[in-house]
Amino acid sequence: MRSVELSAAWSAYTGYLILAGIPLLIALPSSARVDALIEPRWSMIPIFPMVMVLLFTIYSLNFGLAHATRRASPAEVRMSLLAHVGFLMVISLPYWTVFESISGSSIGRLGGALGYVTLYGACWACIGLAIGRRWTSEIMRFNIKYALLIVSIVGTFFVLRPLNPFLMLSLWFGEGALQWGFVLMGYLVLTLILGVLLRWTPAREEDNRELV
Amino acid sequence: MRRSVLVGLVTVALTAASVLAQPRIETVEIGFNGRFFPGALTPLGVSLPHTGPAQVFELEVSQEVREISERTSVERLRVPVSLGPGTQKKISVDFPVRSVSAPLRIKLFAGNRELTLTEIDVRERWSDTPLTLGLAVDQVPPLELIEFAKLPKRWTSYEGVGRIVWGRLDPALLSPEQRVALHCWLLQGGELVILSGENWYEQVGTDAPAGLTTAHGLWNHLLPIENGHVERGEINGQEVFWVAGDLRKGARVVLSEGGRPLVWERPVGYGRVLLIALSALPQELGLPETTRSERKTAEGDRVIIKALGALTVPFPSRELVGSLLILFVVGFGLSGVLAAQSKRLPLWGALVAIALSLVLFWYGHSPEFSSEEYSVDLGVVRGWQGEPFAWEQSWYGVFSRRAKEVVLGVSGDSVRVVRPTFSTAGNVWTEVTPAGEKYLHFHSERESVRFFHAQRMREPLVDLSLDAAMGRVRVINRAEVPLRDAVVHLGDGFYRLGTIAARTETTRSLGELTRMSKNAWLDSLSERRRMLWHQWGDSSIVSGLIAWLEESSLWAQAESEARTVLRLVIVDGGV
Repeated sequence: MRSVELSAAWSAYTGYLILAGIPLLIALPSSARVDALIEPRWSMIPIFPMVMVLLFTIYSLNFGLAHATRRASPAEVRMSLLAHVGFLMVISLPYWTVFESISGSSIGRLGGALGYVTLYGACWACIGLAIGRRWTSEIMRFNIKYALLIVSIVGTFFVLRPLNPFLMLSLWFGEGALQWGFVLMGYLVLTLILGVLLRWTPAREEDNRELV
Repeated sequence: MRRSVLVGLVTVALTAASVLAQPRIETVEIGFNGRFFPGALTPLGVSLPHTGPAQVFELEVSQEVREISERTSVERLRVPVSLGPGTQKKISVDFPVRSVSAPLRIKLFAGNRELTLTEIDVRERWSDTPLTLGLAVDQVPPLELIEFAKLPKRWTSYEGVGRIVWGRLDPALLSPEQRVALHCWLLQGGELVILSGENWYEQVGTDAPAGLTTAHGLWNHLLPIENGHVERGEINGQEVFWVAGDLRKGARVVLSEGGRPLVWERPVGYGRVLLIALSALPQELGLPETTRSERKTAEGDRVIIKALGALTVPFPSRELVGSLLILFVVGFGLSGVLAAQSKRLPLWGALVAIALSLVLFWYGHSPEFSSEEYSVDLGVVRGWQGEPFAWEQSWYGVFSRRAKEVVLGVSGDSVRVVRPTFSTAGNVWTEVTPAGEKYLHFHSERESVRFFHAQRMREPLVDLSLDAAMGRVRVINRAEVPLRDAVVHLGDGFYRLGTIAARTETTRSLGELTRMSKNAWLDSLSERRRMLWHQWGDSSIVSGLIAWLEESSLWAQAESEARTVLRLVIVDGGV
């Protein structure tokens, strides 16, 4: 079964790699003196993970929307959606590896951050699926998904902070000690939300079928 | 009811016994008679009685210092202490008391548990000049009269001492450790004033000196005169015992009275020995107030900061990594033709990405991509012809690319953290093992720098025999590494010896060596070597050997560290 048109999905993957690759190529360091390296300076290195998580979320959201039109069993839709999100993460691993090398971060922290980003993307993929099933108009889908994304990101700077990917990545790739309570809270809440979304989304499709 | 009371009493008794069995800090001795010179390493003696079972504890000495920039830093030293039942141990450490306004905190730990804490107020005990110690002499202010047994056994304990006035005391009373410490202190710039006169025979002994290994041998080695003996003389109308003798090579007469030498001086390394012919200090001899030259050390600090700052961290792989990533994206995009024919997400796409990640990870952690730490280790080893010790100083600066906890081993006798004004780096604590090894513990932040200074007295790496009259030079390289680009310096001339292999010796006639001017020699130096020479090259040396070491180090090297080592080796020929 082909969950979404693979050629279209492939274009999306390639686009994602190109967009994410640009900040990484800019961030690649060149030879420099130590006194220049320890001075406060503008660098693309801390911006790269922010761009990556934003792109990853948007692409996951769009995968969710693309899956909304598929006719398949709920389990198959679920598996296909998660497989696409996972694949998106796997093909970006070379980028993250290079980031780990140039940023001076540790492999453990990188793993922790990538786990969070994957969970976060999977949640937004499910939200995309729900939006796609609730609204059929393209413009409505567009408005709703981006409005929701912006409100969510801005809002979580103030409330439910463990759900903010920028704060969480700053913590993972930051200099200070990890606040394990905060990190665990983020993981737990995301896992809970993903569990709820995965159960709830297919049920809506069945509801729709019954109405038809 | 009775049983409960009994259990309660037993519990209280056991608790009381365990509390009483804990070791405690009985007394703390600071400096010399409680006096110390702030900023210098100060000897601390801590008495620890213990009645409990044999156990290993940790003694911690710390002081929280507020810097000029209002930042606070903590100087901390930890020493393991093994205490047996019913024992009383005196632990002796050298600690840099950097502030006179902050108390010293002395704690005893069992594991991570703090057992006891003693705070020592040091506001009333400091001296604004390096100390002058007096041994078996009449009080001449300002002087700290001390027992010979209190003389330090480590040269580092002398850091806050500028002068020792030696009276009626037999040097043979000193232990071998005390003698070595005294000798090393002299070589580093200490001043020993010997009041001889009627004390003479007590000081030199009657037995024949047998080299530097005996007390009297060392004493005769230090004295500015040979064939010394006591005569009767007269000064200010009073008959006195007057020491006379033959002037030793390199020594000079500083003061005379009635045509007879009254004070002789002999340089010993950077220090000097003043021999007074009488048993009292002559009024005419104006001994200057002792000062401690921190200028050279501070300049050394600046040199290492500058040298590390100028170090280039190479990323030659930028183009390679960039090309690999672009190829990956192009290949991925083109493989969409294949993927479109597939019904499922292609597993090979994921496998290629994972394989590339593994390759990039391996490459990213290899030295070809970049080292985790880049460091510069600069220093100077000073030796003196005929002296059994050389003085090695090393400044070490390290740039860390990654955040991590670091344990840095250092084989110096003393080690100090250099704190540049721009640095916001956290505190460092020093661990001293029972074997005397030192380990610095600190957290390295990402893309941050750290600087340290260490010094030690060691056996000379190089033995030099320079016979200016015969025009011959003999050099023995005892180091495990080659001595590079050695030159013999004699008057205005520099004679090129070249590289001397490890553990070899060479004897050459100056006539057969290429002679060059000082300017020509300076022009032949690399920028870094010239910087070291300008910093530590001793222009007062008339003759000697100058060479370079590029491999030897006091600092333990991390596996993933790219280190640049450069040591200037100077041996003073004393001609």
